[in-house]
Amino acid sequence: MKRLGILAAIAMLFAISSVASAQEEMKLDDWQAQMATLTTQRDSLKTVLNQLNTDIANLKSQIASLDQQYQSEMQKYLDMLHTTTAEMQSFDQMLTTLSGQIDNYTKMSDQDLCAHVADVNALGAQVDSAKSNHLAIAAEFYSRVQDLSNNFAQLKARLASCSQAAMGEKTYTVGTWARNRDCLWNISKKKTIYDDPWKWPKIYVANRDQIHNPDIIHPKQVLKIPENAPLNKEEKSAARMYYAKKARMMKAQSNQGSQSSK
Amino acid sequence: MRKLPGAILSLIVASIILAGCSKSATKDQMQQMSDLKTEIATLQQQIQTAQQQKADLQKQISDKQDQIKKVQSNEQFVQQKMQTSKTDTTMSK
Repeated sequence: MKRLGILAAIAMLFAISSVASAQEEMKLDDWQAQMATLTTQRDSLKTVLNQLNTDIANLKSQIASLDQQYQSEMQKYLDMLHTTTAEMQSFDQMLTTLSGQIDNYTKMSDQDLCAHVADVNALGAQVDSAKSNHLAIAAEFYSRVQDLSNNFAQLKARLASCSQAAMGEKTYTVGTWARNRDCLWNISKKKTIYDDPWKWPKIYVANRDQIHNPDIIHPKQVLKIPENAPLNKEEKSAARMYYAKKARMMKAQSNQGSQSSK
Repeated sequence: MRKLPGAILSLIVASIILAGCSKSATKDQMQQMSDLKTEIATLQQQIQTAQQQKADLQKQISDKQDQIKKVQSNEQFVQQKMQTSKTDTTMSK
């Protein structure tokens, strides 16, 4: 019985180990099935890769063609402006420098700015040169040149007001007739100006560059107001000429009126 | 009782036959499968690289098209400005 038991145990062990080793090794059928699946997968991946390589080749050729097109368009643009890339770069650099200089002066206090009148005026020549440059109409530079010009104009205005202040000159900005009743007579009459309408020739003479007829001034004109003092020789002469002209005009008008009534 | 050892013996024989008769893949075949798996992994890697390259090239194309459009729009701008300045010159004359 004991022998029998041992034999049975050996048989069982043998059977179990045989089945286990058979499971570890792949059956031929399974191998064939898996190989078929893997081969299909490999072929499909190869197709995808080939397609991708074709796409890449096409894209590269498209890039080469676009590069050519870009070069051609760029050359056309440069020809249109009669310029070269180097000249464009140089103008770009010039605008950057000018812009930086204007910024520096803009940041200065009025007092410091007044000490740099000559420098600012020299800068103005450079701004004018940039504005008249043939590259100023290039799309890359157009708005930059405009900004530069506007910023410089503001700087100039500050410079003008600070130099007037330094000279003790007052200014007056003309309002509208409808609202302010501004004419040289009325401006001169203002308490804050001369408090005397008869001093209007002072304003006229000081602003001859912008007033051609004392009867005509325009809203927003900035008039220089000289120091309050009696009329000088030139101012008196200007007043006399004005009144004489006015008298002649009135006489001519009255003559015309009497002739037409006859 | 005498029949029992015979039964056990036949069990042993049957298990030997069972284990031996089902065909298994050979070592070479297993190696072949392993090579195929490696090839698939390499292809997958190549596809990933190619897809990345394709995306980069598509981005380059889009950038270049934008650059060309920009130059063309600059050309139009300059033409307009030239036209305006011509008109202004004619009017001032």
